[in-house]
Amino acid sequence: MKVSYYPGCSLHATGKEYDLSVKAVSQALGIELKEIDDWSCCGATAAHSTNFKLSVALPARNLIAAEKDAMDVMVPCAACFNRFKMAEHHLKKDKALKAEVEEIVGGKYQGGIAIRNPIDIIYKDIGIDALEKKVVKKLEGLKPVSYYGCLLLRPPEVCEFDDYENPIQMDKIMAALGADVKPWSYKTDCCGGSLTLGNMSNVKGIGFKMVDKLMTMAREAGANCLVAACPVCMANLDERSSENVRLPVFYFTELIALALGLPGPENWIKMHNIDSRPLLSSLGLL
Amino acid sequence: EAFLSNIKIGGRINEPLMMVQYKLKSGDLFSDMAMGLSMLKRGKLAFLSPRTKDMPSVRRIFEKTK
Repeated sequence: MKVSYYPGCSLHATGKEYDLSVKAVSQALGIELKEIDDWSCCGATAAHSTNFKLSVALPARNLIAAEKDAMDVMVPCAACFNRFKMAEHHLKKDKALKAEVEEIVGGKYQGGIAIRNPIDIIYKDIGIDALEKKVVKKLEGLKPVSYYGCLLLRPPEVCEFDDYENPIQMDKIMAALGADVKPWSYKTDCCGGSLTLGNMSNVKGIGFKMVDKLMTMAREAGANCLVAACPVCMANLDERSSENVRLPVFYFTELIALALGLPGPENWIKMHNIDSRPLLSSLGLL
Repeated sequence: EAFLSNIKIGGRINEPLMMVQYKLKSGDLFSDMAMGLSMLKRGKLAFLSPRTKDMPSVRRIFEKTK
């Protein structure tokens, strides 16, 4: 299958391993990616918390560019995904806004392509069975909890993705790889990611506490690692954990690549802050 | 706003630049250096990411949504 690809700003920098692992996994699963021509930032939190029209126009510029390729677009970053879905939602709902944005961006928005995140594409278009068949190294002994974060699923009528209280798609993907997925109640709790690069008193006051909560609950659930699908969650969990509990965090695509025996994981995990090599070597996975 | 000015310059976020800008604006450049340096060492701060070519279209969006 062929889809357009919108990496977004993070995947070129702090989320580099996500970009690399998404590309490797897509190739292995027969998903051809075509990066959108000359894309620009989706605006993320900065735009939507300061200027509504800007927050719709910035993603719209990319959606209009993506429509030229006439394919659905894969958006790995949860923030970008959320902003794209939000823009789509508003453009479809409000004709006046749509006309205005089209005039500003300089192009027509048809609304004919779907905005998908990679969990959804792998789960629905590739399928769990097909994925399972390609596993060469079962992730035995790995006990992840699936951390979806808040932006992929909420608001539900905008994101149109998995169940917003108890999503299961990533859990099923991990289970297909042979991992012992642990259920827990913190799948969609916010990690405090937007505080991560901010005022240090916020980081120390709230940020660390939020990450600590997630890490502690993960351990209580019997997990030895966390799996994420958002570059901000990943950066936050990875960089801002306290000495209290510190479990390795992976992008779900890194684990898929590991299970499929693809080259790359050893390099990608070196980019993480919390070293996962002791865990993976002890399980014979590295 | 460091974020948005970043987009006005290159169409995309240049994370290292933005972090520095933000830290300078908030008057606190050094307390987070440890994390910044550690990320740099692990290859996470891309200083030379490509920029959006059609900058006029991006600037136009900012202009018209003021």
